[in-house]
Amino acid sequence: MSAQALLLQIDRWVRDTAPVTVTLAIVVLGAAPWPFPASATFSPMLSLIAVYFWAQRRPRAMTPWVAFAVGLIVDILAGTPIGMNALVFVLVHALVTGQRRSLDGKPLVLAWGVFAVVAVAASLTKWGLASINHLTLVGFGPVLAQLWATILLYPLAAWLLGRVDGLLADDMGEQ
Amino acid sequence: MKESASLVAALTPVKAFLRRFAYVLLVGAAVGLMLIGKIETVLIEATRARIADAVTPILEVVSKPVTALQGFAGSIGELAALREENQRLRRENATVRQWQLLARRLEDENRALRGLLNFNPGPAASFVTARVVADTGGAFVRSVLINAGTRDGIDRGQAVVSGEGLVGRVTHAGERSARVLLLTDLNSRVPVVVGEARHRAILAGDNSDNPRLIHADTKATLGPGELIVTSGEGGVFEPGLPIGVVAGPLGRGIAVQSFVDWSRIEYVRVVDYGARTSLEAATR
Repeated sequence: MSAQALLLQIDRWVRDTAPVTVTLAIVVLGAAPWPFPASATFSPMLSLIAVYFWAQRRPRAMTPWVAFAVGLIVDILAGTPIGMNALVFVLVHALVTGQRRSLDGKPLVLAWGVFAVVAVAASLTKWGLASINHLTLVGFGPVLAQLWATILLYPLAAWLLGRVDGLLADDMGEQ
Repeated sequence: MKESASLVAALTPVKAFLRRFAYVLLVGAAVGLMLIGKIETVLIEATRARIADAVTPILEVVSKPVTALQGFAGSIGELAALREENQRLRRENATVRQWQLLARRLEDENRALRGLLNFNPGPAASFVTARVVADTGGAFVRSVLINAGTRDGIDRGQAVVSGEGLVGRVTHAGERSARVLLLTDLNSRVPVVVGEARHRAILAGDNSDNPRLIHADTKATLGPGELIVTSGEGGVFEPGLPIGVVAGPLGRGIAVQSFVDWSRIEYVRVVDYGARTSLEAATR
């Protein structure tokens, strides 16, 4: 194999795995002790945004298996019941796969609205699972705070991830 | 060429089936894991601790610049309010000096009285300082991961304090990392005493920033601003660790304003109170 071919292969590999790498980076960054006021309450579900975004844009990199694995890592780091986020991410992935085509080329506001619906569904599912796990109704106030933070942060996060996505596409154009 | 095309065409439904099957399989796996987590708690938590150990070095690297940011943001805020802060501190200093005098006098008096009574002060506490490397604030669990574990002498059940007051207790200890359940977590229950009258109560978290007092013996007399400290009952916490003040009535309990700012826990001390707790004895 020539050096050129090897470089091409490495380039291809980096591009193929970039969505997963970026998602893992977001998971780790999300776990870091951020110093913002009230960050303990208004902690957005960054990993949900990442899984949702990549499932839509790069479904071949963000497969249901990857979504499951990312959820497991979040559960391990966050101390949530093992499997809770994994289940929610797989369900979100299934939801996205079902509606991907209908979202192509739609304005941002609509995409935001659709994400909000997905986030509400994800939060309700998590709340239900956590309540079953603790055998008591988990308080809904903190869930709502987290949901708001996630929905409000989505446009910015999606824009940033879109830049990363664009970068990957540019590379492809040069080949 | 034609053959391979027909092969692809034949495989497409299989692929589609596998893709659909993946969801079913993964949902099943996730539900199964949740069930196993509920039944085989020890196994799951040991695995979790081992993985947390492996990830801690990465978290340490990532959390450092984030903590630096914390210092930076803090210093900008301080600059803005320097004058005001100075005046406030001067006033506070005057008050504190009076308290210091009082404390010295009381300490002397206390020592003298203890000498008279042959009082046994209990085991002396030792402590380990650790940095918070992951803060998983959220709606479902309130815990932090610290970068010290069993090799530093940290064990389950030990109390965790910051400069402000009690933070929580160690629930799982890996070799080089440990998970601290915060007072605000849904599963946290701490026996406390409130105010000068030393009313007994239980401090219960509900995943919000303000834990509540439940099972207070005489609710009517708990006014806002009364100090809440650990009672030491149950042997998990040393008695007298500061927690917060009464904020006001809230639903079925009484809201508590804790001394610890839950958004800014940077360094903590893990206190080894020495005594094997009844909790440990019951679970081992």
